[in-house]
Amino acid sequence: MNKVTTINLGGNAYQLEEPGYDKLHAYLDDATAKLGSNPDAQEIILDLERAIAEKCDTYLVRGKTVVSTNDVEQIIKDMGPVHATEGDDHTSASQATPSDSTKRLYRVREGAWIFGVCSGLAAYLDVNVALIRIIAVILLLVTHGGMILIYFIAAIFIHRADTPEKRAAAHGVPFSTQDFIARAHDLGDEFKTSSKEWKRYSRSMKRDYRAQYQEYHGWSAFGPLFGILSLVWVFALISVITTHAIFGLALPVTMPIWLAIVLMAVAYSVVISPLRYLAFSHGGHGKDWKHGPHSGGPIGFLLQILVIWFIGWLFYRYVPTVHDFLNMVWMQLQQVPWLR
Amino acid sequence: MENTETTEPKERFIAIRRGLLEFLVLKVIAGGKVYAADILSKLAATDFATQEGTLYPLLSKLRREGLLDHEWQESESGPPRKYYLLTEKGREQLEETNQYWKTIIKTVDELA
Repeated sequence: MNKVTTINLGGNAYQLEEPGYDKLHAYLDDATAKLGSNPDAQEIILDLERAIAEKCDTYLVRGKTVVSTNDVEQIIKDMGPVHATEGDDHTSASQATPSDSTKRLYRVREGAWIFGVCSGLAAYLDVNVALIRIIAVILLLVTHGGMILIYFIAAIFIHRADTPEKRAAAHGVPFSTQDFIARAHDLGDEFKTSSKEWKRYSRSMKRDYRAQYQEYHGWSAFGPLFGILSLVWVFALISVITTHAIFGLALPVTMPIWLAIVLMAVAYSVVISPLRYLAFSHGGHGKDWKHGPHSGGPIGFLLQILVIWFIGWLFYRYVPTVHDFLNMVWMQLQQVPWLR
Repeated sequence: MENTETTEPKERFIAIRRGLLEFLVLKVIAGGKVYAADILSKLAATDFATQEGTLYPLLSKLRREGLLDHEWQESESGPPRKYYLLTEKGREQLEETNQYWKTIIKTVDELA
């Protein structure tokens, strides 16, 4: 059983199974990218859509009302890849497709704390992710939390590097201004199609999280530790919902609960990251983890701890709430008999 | 469509086929007003079988060069369709290419 999405192809509505819809969308996105700055790009895309619509019609016989994923795959095969015609090539060549060696900004999930915006930016600028994170946190403090919004907007508009080609492109060749401009163009295009895109992004975010979950729960040696941390998190969650306070620390009155929960999720993700980092650089998941100087190992692990410690210290020093909270936790710990 | 499978080994001729596709498309359109699917099905039986992904960008380029034009026609089944026809310029160019093609064949034969 599959969810069905209704789409408009050349003026008529068609119902597609959702995986099929994703595939078709990717095909048309790819076509748009290949056509690049072809002056007739829009017209050609419309032609293609009409042709796809006609092909759909041939599958919708004998009372069938939904185009299945298999049908879509066959249709895409029949349509064939879109070729920019000779003479138009020079325009499309500069349009960065993931297969050429141009570098692009993607979110990189490997070693990510939250959605991988910082790791993606680090790969793009070819600097250590620790530096980017520290800058991000300093900006967070300076903007009184405004960075959170910027971060989530970035997470929404920057694609995740979810294929080997994109991962390669994320680390690709040195940074160039041209590419930066191309990227800005892409962002503009994405804004235009945002309403449709929103749905897809939120779905891919969900997939991100599911994938991460499987990763660290698949790695058994840290199982108990993850378990304890998750338990602490769940207790904190219950505490925040029932008493509007985390283990006795009242939230600022103006802070809505959802924001508190989001912040807690971020904190959990950050605390757990060194472990995930180790898991990544270790064994089975290592195959995804081979790009550039940001690879795992004990030094990477120590660096992660160091960065977390430094960021924690920044918060402790400059945010009174965090300062009070940590002091309070410390006092509570001293009450525990077997710790004394 | 099955034809593409059997022609695939002739990789060496890809460049020739690609170069000639435009000529053949003009030729098919010269035979009377046609619709994109007609062009594809005419070519499908030949070595020049191609797909929408290649054909539409080519048609739009030919139109931009002023070699062909299109008009909309109602169809008995479904939405209106785009029919392509050659312009005067298109006809001239086709005639030129035809002549040139004959010269090439002649040259190739004579050299043998």
